[in-house]
Amino acid sequence: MTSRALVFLLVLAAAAALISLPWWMPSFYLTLTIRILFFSLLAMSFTFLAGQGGMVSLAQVAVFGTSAYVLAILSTQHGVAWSAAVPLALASGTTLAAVFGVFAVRTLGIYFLMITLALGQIVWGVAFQWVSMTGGFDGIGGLRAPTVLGVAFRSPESFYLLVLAATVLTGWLLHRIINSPFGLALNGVRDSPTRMQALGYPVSLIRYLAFVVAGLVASIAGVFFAYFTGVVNPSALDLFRSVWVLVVSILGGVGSLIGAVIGTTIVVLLQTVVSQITPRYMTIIGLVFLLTILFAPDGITGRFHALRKRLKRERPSGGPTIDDRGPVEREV
Amino acid sequence: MTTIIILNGLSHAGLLFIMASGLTLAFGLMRVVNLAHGAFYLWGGYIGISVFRATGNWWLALLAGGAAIALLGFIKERILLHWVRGKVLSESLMAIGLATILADLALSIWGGSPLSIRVPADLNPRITLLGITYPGFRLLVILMSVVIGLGLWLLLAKTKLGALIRAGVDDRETTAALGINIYVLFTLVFMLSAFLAGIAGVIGGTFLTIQPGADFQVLTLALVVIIIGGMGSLPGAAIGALVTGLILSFGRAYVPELSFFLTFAPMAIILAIRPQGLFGRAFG
Repeated sequence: MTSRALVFLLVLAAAAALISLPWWMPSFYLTLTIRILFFSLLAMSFTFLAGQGGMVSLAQVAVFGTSAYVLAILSTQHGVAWSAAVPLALASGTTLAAVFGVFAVRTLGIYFLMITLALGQIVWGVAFQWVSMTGGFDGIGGLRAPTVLGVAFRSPESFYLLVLAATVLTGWLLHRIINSPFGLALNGVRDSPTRMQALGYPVSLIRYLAFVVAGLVASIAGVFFAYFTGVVNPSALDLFRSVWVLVVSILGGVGSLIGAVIGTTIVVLLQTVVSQITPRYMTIIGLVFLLTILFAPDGITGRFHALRKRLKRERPSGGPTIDDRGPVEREV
Repeated sequence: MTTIIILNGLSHAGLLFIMASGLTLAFGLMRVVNLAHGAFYLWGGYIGISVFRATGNWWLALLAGGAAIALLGFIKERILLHWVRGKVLSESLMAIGLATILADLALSIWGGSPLSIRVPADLNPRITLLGITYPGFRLLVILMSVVIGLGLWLLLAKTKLGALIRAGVDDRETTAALGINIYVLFTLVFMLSAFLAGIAGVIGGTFLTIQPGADFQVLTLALVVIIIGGMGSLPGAAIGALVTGLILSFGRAYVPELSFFLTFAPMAIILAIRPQGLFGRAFG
């Protein structure tokens, strides 16, 4: 059997396993898988920006939360049907990204990180303080997934299949964008903005478009999050969640999209196991993150990449690390 | 009324300046934005509160909070930062990891409810000023921030250490090539920066409260301050702190639901017209 056919069979088997999941997996693990899927989407929006564009954004969670809030407020406070509320939620999140992008893409490296952190915290502040709109600390509750064409997405089984489809589709589209001329230009902007500028590429526009695309992906994740939890409160978009996204993405490796899924899966499972043993799971996660930064800054997928190269007796080199992204910060 | 709002704004600005000056000082020399600065504040505050409860001496609590965090800064700089030296983003991300751990450990030690120090009466005389009575401690905070600002300026402008730091800021390689141990300088400056975060925590724990989440709130405000003022600039931090503190105070009085949001307005304006900040050097 050729290795190509083997890969094909493996993918087929994995697809069959994923699609049939609701019929054989205990419901506890099914809901865990749903969480993994929509958080993977959120992590992908981070990974796409950090890995392909060299933009480490701490504002993704704010976009995610805005989309979730808009959906919850429209659906529960104003009785807007899902068919209008969902598009409006996606549009609001993406618009927020479009506004933040104007400020953020003017900066690079560590400044970008700082500014997105501050921008993200604004949204948290608004969610927390604007009690008459957002419900303040308690947030907005009572949101339920709709029934569409006779399919009740309230049931975990059908909700799971929807999230799965959305995640796979979004991942595939991002993958296509990464491998398109636009994606290559984005890589060029990441590695050498001045050279790309000299070649006539609209550097800021490319970064801006990537930021908006990532915003849309985060908004999609926000919609699923809101429907899944049924409650949206400020903790949906606080800095701990930003850090969490950072941790899962870097642990998985920002060099490839699948790293986002791997990182999310590991951390969600780790959290589930560790939180049964000790309430100090944030400490454990922080330690895992520290060790990743110190010993494997290219993440799990990067390590895997390096291992495979070594087995093929190629020049040993790790995958891209977070610090290979964006040269300008070294010139500052 | 307006006088009280202005005085509240000034005292908050004082606290923010003490935070932001440490952050901007370390950034100027080391090009590291210490995202654990908020966690340093949190720990400084909790340690100060514990020391105050044990001894009843506020100045001792202030010193203990500062010294403990300076030690923490020493450990972080020598062990963690040393490891990833030169990788700017890794340095910042590592700080986030450390901040997460510190926040969680603080939660396990001091719990989740807000704690604060009851200001000793001798530090908090009722002072009548311009026809209003105002708590003296808040005036003391303003005074302390001015003293710290002047002290830092004197240190940088008038001492040999300050000259070395300025040389390091301007040209790290040449300074090192001239036989200056730049890493010792890094450690000293980072400890000073951590010390400032520590005492800011004790001060914040006295006229505000310290609770989980305070770390990132104050870090965000300090970041806003140095984004407005320009990274690495001490006068920038002072002006940024004044603007932010006053907006916070007026916002809280007139539009309480959006006071936090309003703080970001000057930041957005600055970013739009002068991305390097008021006193910052051009970058990117």
